[in-house]
Amino acid sequence: MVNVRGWDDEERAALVALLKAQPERLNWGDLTAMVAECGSARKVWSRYYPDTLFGESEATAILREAQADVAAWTTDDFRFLTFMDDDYPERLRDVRQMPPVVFTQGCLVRADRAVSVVGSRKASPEALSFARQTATLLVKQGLTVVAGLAEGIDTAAHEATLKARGRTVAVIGTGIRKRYPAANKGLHAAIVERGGLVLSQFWPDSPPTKWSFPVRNAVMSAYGLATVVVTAGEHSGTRIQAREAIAHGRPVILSAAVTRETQWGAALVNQPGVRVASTPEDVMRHLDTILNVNSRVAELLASAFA
Amino acid sequence: MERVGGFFRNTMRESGRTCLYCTGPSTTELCHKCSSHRAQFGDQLADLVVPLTYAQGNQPRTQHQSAYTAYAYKNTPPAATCVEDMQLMVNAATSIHGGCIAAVDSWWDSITFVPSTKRDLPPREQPTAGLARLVQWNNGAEHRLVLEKGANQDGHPRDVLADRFAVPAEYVDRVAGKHILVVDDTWTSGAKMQSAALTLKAAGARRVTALCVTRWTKWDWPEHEAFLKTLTTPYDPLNCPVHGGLCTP
Repeated sequence: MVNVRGWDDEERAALVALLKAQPERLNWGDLTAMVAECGSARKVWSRYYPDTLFGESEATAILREAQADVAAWTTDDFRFLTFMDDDYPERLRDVRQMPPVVFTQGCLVRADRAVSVVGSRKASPEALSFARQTATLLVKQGLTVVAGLAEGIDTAAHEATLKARGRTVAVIGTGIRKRYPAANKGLHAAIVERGGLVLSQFWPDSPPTKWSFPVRNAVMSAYGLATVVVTAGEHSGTRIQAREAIAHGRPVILSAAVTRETQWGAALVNQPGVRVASTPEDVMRHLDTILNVNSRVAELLASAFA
Repeated sequence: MERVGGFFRNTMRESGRTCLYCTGPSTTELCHKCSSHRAQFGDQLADLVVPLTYAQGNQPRTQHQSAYTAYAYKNTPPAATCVEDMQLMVNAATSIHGGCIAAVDSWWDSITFVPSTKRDLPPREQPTAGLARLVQWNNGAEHRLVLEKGANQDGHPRDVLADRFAVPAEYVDRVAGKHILVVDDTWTSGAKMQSAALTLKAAGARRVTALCVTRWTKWDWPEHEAFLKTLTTPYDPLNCPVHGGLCTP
């Protein structure tokens, strides 16, 4: 399939090959910036591996494998999207951690108005109830609920959304072919079947790793209009999502419990874009302000002298 | 400006810390680049440079969002929030501090932007044109002009060249004897902006004010790193990029 920017599977495969080969040990961010500036992954590839068209080399093997992968992915039960594709979730392009490729199952919605509801895997009944109520209120406002398909708060947010017949998105910390945690295999399927989306930034067979969850959190923050942190421990991964959200400019709503129970939560209170909510209703009031500011900015910029 | 406060910081002019002209980190009154430009071109350069914030390039481990935003706002397909943030910076800064620029000498008579030298886009589709469109005052159609490519397109990107750009004949009246506000996204060495200033001055401009959203800095330069480490206060749009005080809208 060729998109409006002339990207076909050869371009997509060249991007995959670049990410796997990492010429000159360049990181994914640098490689992606280069491809974005040049507009063509094939051109960037041939800059580093000018002879792979004819020669047999390690690079040729990587390119061949990438071409085979991309061909296989197009017939699998998930979609493969590069940041140059039209259906790529556009808000991910806003942040420094923009994943160059994503794999999705379920329904992609353009301009998805979404809010992340995140927190610990081990959560108190009060915190779980806070997450469920918040998710339910978000659905009433027509908003999508995003979480990470983990146990605890994530599961509560996904399930409450499905129960309220809302749309929920899971940004997962493994490859799209994995089911992790195993206990949420059914939830994964339910999200896909009921108009939701499962999104992964990792190669399809990637197992869960220590580093995959924090980088996933940055992408989850980017997907949404804001992140609600329901509960988190002093050293939990949720802390990373709050920190990353502030660093790339997405609003954060902390539950009052987080600001009381963690030092990092207390320290974030006066950071730009951070708000504190005592109740799920508070969360909605803050969101109302955030959405209002966003639409006023859009109006202001649109009303400028043409 | 809670939208950008997490990653943008106000520029400052502080003797011994920054260049008093371009606000880049410098222990001397004028940074190395600006003083060599000054020696070579004197008053043919921009009279006043107004960078709003620092773009923190080459941060170790992960890219800084300020550097990402300054780049990604030009991307195709677009990074919509980055575009909005860059445009909002221009609009808020000129709304609040336009009068401070005027107080130094006079209000600008005309507005233009630094054209892209990399991509051949029609002027109005260039990302920088989108920034210039958001300048708050004196920005009606009769105040606008575009620069075109000049005779010299082969110079090194870091060279200041009077013939890199040219003033089209139809806009000469908007330049001769006028104060021109020139908008750009990023000041790195200032070469492109100063090239535009030379072109405008040669065409008779009385005064040139350079407005840049970001002043590019580099974490892997020790002098810059030491300075960037001290920047912790979130961007405050009331903080004046012209004289450093607090202004009211």
